[in-house]
Amino acid sequence: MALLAGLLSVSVIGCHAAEEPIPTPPGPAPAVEAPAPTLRRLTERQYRNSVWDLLGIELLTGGLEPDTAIDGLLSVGAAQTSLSPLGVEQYEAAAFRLAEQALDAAHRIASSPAPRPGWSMPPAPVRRSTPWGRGRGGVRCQRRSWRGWSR
Amino acid sequence: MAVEVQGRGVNRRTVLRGLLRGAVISVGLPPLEMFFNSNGSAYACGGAIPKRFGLFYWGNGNRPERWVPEGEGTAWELSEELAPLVNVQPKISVISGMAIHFPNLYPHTSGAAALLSGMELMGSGENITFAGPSIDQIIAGSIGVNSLYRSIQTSPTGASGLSYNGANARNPPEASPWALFERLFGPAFQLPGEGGAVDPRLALRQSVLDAVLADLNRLRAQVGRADQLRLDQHMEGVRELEQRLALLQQDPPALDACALPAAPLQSYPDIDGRPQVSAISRAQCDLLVMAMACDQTRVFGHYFSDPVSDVLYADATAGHHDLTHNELDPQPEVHEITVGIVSELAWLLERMDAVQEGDGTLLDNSAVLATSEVSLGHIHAIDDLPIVLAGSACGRLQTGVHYRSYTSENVSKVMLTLVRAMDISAASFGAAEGEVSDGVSMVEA
Repeated sequence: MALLAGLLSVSVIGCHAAEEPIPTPPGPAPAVEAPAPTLRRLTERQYRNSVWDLLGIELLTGGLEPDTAIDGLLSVGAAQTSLSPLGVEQYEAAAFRLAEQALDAAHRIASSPAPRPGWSMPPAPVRRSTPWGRGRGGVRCQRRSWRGWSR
Repeated sequence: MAVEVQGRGVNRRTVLRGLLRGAVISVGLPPLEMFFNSNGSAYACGGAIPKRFGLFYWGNGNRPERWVPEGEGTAWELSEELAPLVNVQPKISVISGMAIHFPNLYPHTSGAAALLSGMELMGSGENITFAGPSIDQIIAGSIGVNSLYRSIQTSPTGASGLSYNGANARNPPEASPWALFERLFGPAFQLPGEGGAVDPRLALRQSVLDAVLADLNRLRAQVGRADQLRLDQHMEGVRELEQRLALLQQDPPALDACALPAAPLQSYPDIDGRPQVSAISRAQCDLLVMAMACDQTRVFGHYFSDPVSDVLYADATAGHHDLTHNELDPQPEVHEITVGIVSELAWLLERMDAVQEGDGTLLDNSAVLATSEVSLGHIHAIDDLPIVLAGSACGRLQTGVHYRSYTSENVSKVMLTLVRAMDISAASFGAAEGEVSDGVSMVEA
């Protein structure tokens, strides 16, 4: 149950670059107006990667709502489109399939690491409501939102 | 556009639920008068038998000189391109001469948006979308809310489809007949009167969705207006799924024609590099027809092909869109492709007409709109659009007529006629150049 809720909410972090100076590229600055911040849907690839990071499994069967490219870019589409009723249905079905795959005995055994010598139970981590909290790659991330939306 | 639902009325499911809840009834259920027509002979459409709406859409238009029928009013003959509809001719009306009144800034896409939403295409370049809901969703918002699926979209050519809940909120069609079968007639499907055990997982699924909705609501409070609208569309989908889970825990409606259809093939591989469009379309249409006979949905969109579709059809020497621009006049291949598409429309309509409901057929109880975003594809013409209406929407549409407009009337008039035929009281349809407040009176009954 908790796993299901977690999957449905594959959650997500809003990332904002830390307040460090951004190196200025040479040449004249392109005339681009910064758009207002907006929620972004996870793209299909991002969802699949998140599931892989979270559970170590791949979504094997069934479709997900296709991404929409706007101005040729999926990430722009992710910032402007919504999820259709069929899309909601597909994500729900995917969550159930993933839960079954994750709880499958073969997968549990394969993904359990062998204990290292001298290993003992670490202290219980502070519970967080999503598996996310800290980003990677030098970008500080802050959990903002859930349910396949990020800011 | 002003749309208001005219009382949802009482359907048989509501009555049964109300009468049987918590009580043991030992007498037979008396037939209710409202379920009979004026002859008292059968269940009346709009009561126990729901009204349905369907859209059959194809891209790239037709050859108008071989499409428009000879003769008008009730005295007309099927043209070459409409000939495949011979078996259902008394149950269709043809409307010709209608036009789109918006500028055709983006050939094909401007026309599609104006045609189906009555609004101008929004955005520019590659960032374009319908500005508001398409006709199928306007209608689904009223007649689709009591069935398992508000609407179902299919495409035999993998089209993106043209069903919009609003700007940037497209309902993508299902391309695989097998996936559609699993979705509609998979393990959760129950035949009327089958009365199997209720799937215990339904309650679990409902509680998960409750949690999702609660979270979306929390998120909604933190974002701007534009994002709220997008989240509202997302939540609409979640609520629809919740409602479906609730309906799945009740007995299905008692519709005689409902039966478990044969499963389609798992895949339809290309033959000589050409997709099996006809076989896929027929498999999808058969499932759509049974989904309506079982009242799983009351609204469908079959997107045979997208605007600018370049599908390589059987026997064609090039893709469809390519041919519309590069084949020499009079374009015999474009003509043949159009006839082939109308043949698939005929398959759908004949299947609908084979389903008996009360003293009519499923087709009689429906309105199906078949249309395209252009007429002569070569010049992207947005006048004299191809339009076929099929079914009488329970007697609200006049069938068996050809109406020809000589003044290039606004095509939104056809949409307004259809919206009203679905018992939705609408003062107007469309916006700006697309706005009309009158329908096409010749096809209104």
